[in-house]
Amino acid sequence: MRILAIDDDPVFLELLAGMLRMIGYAQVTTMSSGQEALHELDFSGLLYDCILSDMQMPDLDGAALTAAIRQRTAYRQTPILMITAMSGKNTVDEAFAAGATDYITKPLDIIELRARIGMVDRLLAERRRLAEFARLVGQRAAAAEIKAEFETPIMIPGFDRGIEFLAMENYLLTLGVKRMYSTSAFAIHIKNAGIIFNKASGSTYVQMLGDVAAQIVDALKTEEVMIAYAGSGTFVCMTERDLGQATDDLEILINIGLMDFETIYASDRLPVPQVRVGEPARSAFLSPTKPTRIIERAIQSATTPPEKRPKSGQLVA
Amino acid sequence: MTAIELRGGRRPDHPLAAAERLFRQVAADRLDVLSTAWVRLDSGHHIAEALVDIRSVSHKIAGTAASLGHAGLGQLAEKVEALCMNGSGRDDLQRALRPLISALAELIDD
Repeated sequence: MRILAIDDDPVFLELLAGMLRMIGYAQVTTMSSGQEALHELDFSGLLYDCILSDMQMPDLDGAALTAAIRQRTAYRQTPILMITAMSGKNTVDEAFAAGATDYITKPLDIIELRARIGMVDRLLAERRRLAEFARLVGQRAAAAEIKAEFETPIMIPGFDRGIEFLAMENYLLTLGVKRMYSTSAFAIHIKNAGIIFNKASGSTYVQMLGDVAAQIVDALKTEEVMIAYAGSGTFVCMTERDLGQATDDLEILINIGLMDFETIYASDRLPVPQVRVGEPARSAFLSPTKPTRIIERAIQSATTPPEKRPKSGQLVA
Repeated sequence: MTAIELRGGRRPDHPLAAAERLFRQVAADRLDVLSTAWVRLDSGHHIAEALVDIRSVSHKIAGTAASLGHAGLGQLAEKVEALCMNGSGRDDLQRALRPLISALAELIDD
């Protein structure tokens, strides 16, 4: 993500750039005034993904700078985050009115910075995915409406890390006995998928699946996991390693990420998708069953509320 | 990355080392500005200019000090900035400025 940061205090700019590097964002350009920033946007030939600007600056303050940036076609939708002292929080209203996206308070707290920039990152990823989706939909000129069947394990546009469900089943069938026993599967079920399917158009439903898929990928980005959409609002994940996080934590992480899209769903009069992560399922030694049984058990766990699941811990197929 | 050591800014290889260095480099100039402003407040001359300078410098210190591990300095600057914004009396401001000036001087000597 290419970031442009503006503040009249060189110490703050150095601090901000350092902190952004610490959380994995190294492409940061700094400017000491709003005028310099506008010149950079107009003449550098670079397109910035995110703009961070101090609120209180001499000459052009944060709100005026935001308004000027929004007049540039290329930056009408670019996330602009205001940086303001706690004491100046009430002045952020002006910046929001001018088109700011969010704000961060000074002194910088790295947890807050990571959360806010992470949200921008997810927003940009979602926009890219939607743009790709629109492109794919546009290609299907004859099909004005996508026909999505609820139970069908469709391929979700833009879900690059996903594999076909059939391919996942086939993969399981090719595993030898030893690898089979070291493989586990868990499922992520969209609890309100049925409701959204009934209320939304086919393309909106597929977009919703894409939103959930993006959050799953984000939450599992450090894990070596194979993911497929199994239909009926359920994703299946398969891994040969232990997950680095508890399924409860994973569930919370995905659901929090989905809440970022609350306003988008509200505008379509749809509920925000909410997921349930099931218990991992493994094959049992000395109990030969068909290899794909672990997928069935994983799906069964995710589609069953925890209080109704058997209390034996990990599921064994 | 779950735990981040912000106070490591004094280590030359730390990502915040450059910010810490710059913070210390500009501390002397900021001390000069605050000291001059304090004298102006005390003499009763050029008070408006003094207030602008004090507010600007305290705002900048308050915005960075705590993130670099100088929490005490940050709090002192925040207090001075708040007094400037609230239009507090000269005596209150001078009282609040004293420890801020001392803390800046200590940082330079450190």
